Order: sequence, then structure tokens, then C-alpha cells
Amino acid sequence: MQSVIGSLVSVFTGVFALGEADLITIGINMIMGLSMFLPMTVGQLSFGQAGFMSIGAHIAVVLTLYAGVSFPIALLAAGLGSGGVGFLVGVPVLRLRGLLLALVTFAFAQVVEVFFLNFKPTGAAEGIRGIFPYTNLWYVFGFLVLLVAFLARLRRSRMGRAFEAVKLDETAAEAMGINVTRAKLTAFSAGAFVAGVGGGLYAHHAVFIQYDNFDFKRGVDIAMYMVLGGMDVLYGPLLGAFVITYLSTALQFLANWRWEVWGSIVILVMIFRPQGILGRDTLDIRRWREVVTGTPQRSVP
Amino acid sequence: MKRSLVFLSCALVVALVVPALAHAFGDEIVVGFLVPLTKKGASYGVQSRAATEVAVEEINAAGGIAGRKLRMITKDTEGDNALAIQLARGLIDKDQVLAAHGPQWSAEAEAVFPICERSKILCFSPTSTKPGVSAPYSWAFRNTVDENVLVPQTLKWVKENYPWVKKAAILTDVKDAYSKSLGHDTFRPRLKQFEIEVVEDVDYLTGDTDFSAHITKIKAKNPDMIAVGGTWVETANMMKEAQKQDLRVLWVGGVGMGNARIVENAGLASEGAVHNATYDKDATTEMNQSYVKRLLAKVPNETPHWPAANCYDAMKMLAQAIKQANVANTPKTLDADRKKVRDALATIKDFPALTSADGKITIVDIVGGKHAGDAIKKGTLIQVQNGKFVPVGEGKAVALKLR
Repeated sequence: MQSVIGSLVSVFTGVFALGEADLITIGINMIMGLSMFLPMTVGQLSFGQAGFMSIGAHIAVVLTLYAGVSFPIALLAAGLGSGGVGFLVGVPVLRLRGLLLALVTFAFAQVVEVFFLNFKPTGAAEGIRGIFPYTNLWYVFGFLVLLVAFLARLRRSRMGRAFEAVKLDETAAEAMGINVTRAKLTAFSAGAFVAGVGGGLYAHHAVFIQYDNFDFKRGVDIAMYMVLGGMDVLYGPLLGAFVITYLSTALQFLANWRWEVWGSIVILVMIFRPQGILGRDTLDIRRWREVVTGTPQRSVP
Repeated sequence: MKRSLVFLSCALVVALVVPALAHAFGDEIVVGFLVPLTKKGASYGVQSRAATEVAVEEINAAGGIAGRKLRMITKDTEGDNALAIQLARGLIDKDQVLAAHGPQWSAEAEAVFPICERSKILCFSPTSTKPGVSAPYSWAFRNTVDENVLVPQTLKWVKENYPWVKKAAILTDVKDAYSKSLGHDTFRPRLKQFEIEVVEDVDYLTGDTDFSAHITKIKAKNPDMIAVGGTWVETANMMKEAQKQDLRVLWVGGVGMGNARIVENAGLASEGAVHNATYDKDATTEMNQSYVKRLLAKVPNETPHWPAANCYDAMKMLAQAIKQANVANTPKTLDADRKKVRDALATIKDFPALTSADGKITIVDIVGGKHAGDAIKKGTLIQVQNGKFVPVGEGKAVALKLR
């Protein structure tokens, strides 16, 4: 089993010229993309994922570095701590909708950043160094596989359908007897949990963290994974995270023109696919036959 | 239309996926260069890259390293730690570079140095200034000097020329690790050592523009000088505010004050301000004149700054180390070669350089039985006189009369 995975990975990395460090970063960014996708399943746009990532990173580091806790338990604690904060923040915040929610979560990320800037036990402005390099491919992709399996099942579950209903129309969902507040709070806290674990993985990969590793810029990057890849299906953020992370190393040879190329790619995608590269229709075979043969297929009633 | 779009995206994927070219050993010596060219730090990085290119061109024009050509692989870190790690690993494992020149920021250095330690390759950061970053890693070196060496030199000069300085206030940028350590860990104890009483200690944040409250608080204590643990951008605003409130003091800063634009921004308010710099862009030495000429041919509209000069010196030192190490430069001997280069750099002494007042840099490997990895340089005191940066002290211009 391990050798099969190993050979598949080596084919993949050979084609894309990726090293272990690239794969780990891609994996962590995929996890962060999914942490943003979770609140999106109930239609909530959260820009606070960098803040939750920061909380998770700091919790995990304090546990492994100062308390000698084993890495998986520290990751779990990072997720739970961050998820707990997500729950507390979510109670008042989730009454807001759309742009207002985005602004409040954005402000939350700022609060977290300034907190760790002034919090002496975690080094304040100097950050923490000497973190153990525990993160490896197995931790990152093990968690990612679990997460994808969970999300894939969620869509077909009772809870997943409730999320879907809330996303499409809150009022109608409430009329159908769905507890809208609970659905939103669950999805938001779950997103914070995932971001916390992602933060823990990041910290033990970067082996140095300071408050501004989790700033506004990272928040925007995480949002871009989902916006570019597709926000309707869970494979969207995965593709987005891969493309964006890969491009920042693959386009190095273009030097300063990299950002022009990158910006053009985003604009093209937004023009032709406003819902992101991947959508509900991507796996629809009938639509693909239309594209390839050029003849419209009659839809079966 | 749609079909062409599919074709286009396929072509794009293929173009991006072309694997990196294999690295040529033998006649070519390859070093990696990590520098932020976009996003955070681009304003420094672009000139730093030009300066390093000047160094590489000069080395190759002079016959390369023992007959071999020096090639540099430049990677843009965007000032991002995770990307710096990815790129450093790529340089070490895929490009199989002999040594790494960089990274530039202290935060990037914190993330990349442990990788160099594990991969056993020399990482030589030209500009990281946060204290003690290279100390835990025996493969990490920096071409920068501890402010604890420079500040006493500055204060000694202050005491000699301005004996009326008895009381001081400290303004510290607590958002930036280098500035915070300069204000809290260097100025605080050193001022006491020179019998200057610290009467007020105020903190601010990078990016602050309104210093009216800070200056009002300081003015109440009526100090003779203000020591700034911070960089020139905010310092210029403080100076303007002090002028507005009619607070006349001697301003003293660290390496971070070393940008001539402080005079443009603060105008007359910056008159008399003094800081210690390791690079003097107007130095009349032949080495500096030819460097500035070649640098400005690449970046015409810029004023030469110290990080770029540090990069130039660091590349020259690295080339010297590779020459001394007498590397075999084959894939088989890569590990041994990397070790030789590291050991050769550790022994560099009195290297002729731009970024030291006496033109000599010494790399310190071991201090008191422990690895340090920093450089020993001599600073030049720079004072703002009549709206210009003027080198003062030790046979240079005399101090401005302030009182």
C-alpha cells in the first residue's frame, strides 16, 4: 500500500518538479482552502481564517515546545482551541449576513494579529523560534484525506442538506424547520477547527512563527484558493490551493512579470468561470460531450 | 471557441510543467540567491539583486573562481516565510547549489536557517539584523554587525561633543523585532552605561504617523536627546512633530535611520540627527566609486542603500570562501564541498569591503565557545548637517553646534 502511494507520489512530483517542502505547503494550503469552504457551505464568507490559523499555530507550538505534548494531540488541541474561539465568535457574529459578516471576520483576524503582537509568553514581536520540525507528508495528507472524506459524505447527509438549504435561502430553510443558527454555527466552528489544525501543521513546518505570518495578506491568499478553484464543490479549494501555491514557485523564471501573468490568469478565470474553475457542472459527463463534439445533447427529462 | 480554450489551457499546463533543467557541475559554480523582489521588501530587494549581480559580473570578469564561472540562481521569496522554505529546499535539493546567499529578512532567516542546518549547507544572510538569529545554527552566517557594537561608539561620540546631554528619552517600535531590541535591549542599558539618565520610555508601532501624544509626553520630561529604536520612515514624522511642539533635542538612531530620504521627509527638523552606519554611499574610495557607478547603471533612479552594499560584500566574501575551499565541484563531492565552503567562510578575516568604515570585515564563527556567525565591522557616524548626511568624528567633519 505504502509503495503504491509512494510510486504515485513520485510520478506526480516528477511531472510537476515538486519537492517535499512544496508538497507540504500545498497540502497545508489545501487544508486552509477547505477551512474557508466549510463556512461557505452555509453561505458564510469568512475572512477570519488567518486568525484561526494563528490561534491554532500558537496553541500547538506552546504545547509541543513548552509542555512536551505529542504532536497529534497538540494538533487536536489546536483544532479544538481554535474551534472553541470560532464558536464564541460565531454566536454574536453569525447574525450578520454577506458583506457585514466578511468585514467582522476580517476585523477578528486583525484582533488576533494584534493580540499575538503584544502577547509576551509567545514572544510578542520577536515570534517563537526553535519549533520542532514534526510536520511531514503523512500528517498533512493524512488529515487532508480524512477531511475530504468527511466533506464528501457531509454533502449527502442530513446535516449537509440542511447546510445546502440554508445557503440557498435562509428564510425558506427556517420555514422548513431547519435550525438556521445551529447550522451556521456548526459550519463556522468546524471551519475554525480545520484552520486551527492547519495552523499547527504550518508552525511545525516553518519552525518559526511570528504574528505577521498570519496577516491580512494570508487571509486574502486563503480566500483566493476558494474563489479561483471554485466555491460550490469541495474539490474547488483543493485545485485553487494547488494552482496558486505551484504558480508562485513555477513562475519564478518570469521574475517581476510573474504577477502580471498571475493576475491575467485570475481575470480570465473570473470572466469565463465566475464560480471558479471547478463547479457542479465539471463532473457532468453530458456537458463535456457537448464541449467535445460540439453538438448539444438532449437532456433526459 | 470552447475547443480552443480547452487547447489553450492544456498548452499552459504543459508549459508550466516543464521540469527544471539539470544542474551543470564542473566548469560552473552555482550559488542560490534568496531575495524579496515583489510584495513585502521589494523596495530593498530590487537594488540588492542589482548589487549582487554587479558582484557576480566583477568576479567573472576577473576570471571567475579558480577558472570556473560563477552562476547565481535568483529566487523571489516575496518576503514570505513558507515560500522562502520551499525555494530554499528547491535550491538545495533540485538545483544542488554549493551555498546560499540569503535570505534577507530576519523572519525568513529564522525559517530558512534550520533547513540549512539540517541539509548541511552554508546560508549567508547579507542583511538580517535581528540579534542572535544565526547563533543557534552552525551553518548560518550573517554579514551584519550587532547594534551592541555600534551604539556605544555613537554614545561615546555624543558625550564627547555634546557634554550637555544628561537626560534622554527612548522611542521604540515594538512591532518590529530589530527595532524593539535596539530600543529596549541596547539603548536602555547603554545609555545608563554612559551616564545618561533615561527619563521617558515610549513605545509606538510600525506605520504610525501621528506622534503628537508621544512627543507631548516626552516634552513634559524635557530631555536633551531622543534615542530611536526604529526605522527612518516613522522617525521623520517624529522629528516633524517635535519641531511643531518646539522640542529641541539631539536625535540618535541605529542602522535603521540610514536612509537619506529622512532629510527629504523631515526637512530642517532632522538637523543634527546622528546615527551609526556601516556603509557610506559617498565614500571616496576607488572601490565604492566603481561600485556605485556600476550599480546605478543597473538601477538608475535609486540612491545606493546599505542592504544592497551588504549583498555586494557578502557575494564577494562567498566567492572568496569558495576559492579558498578549493572545491572539486562534482555531484559526488557536493556534501564535502559544502562543508569546505562553510569552514572557509568562517575564517574570513579583514576582508576588503564597502560596508565597514575601515574597509575591513571579519566573520566571527565562535565566541566564547559558542557559534555566533555575525560580522565584525566598524561603523561611520553620520550626522545631518545643512540637510545632508555628513560623516563625522575621527578625522572627518566636526559636530554641528546645537546649543
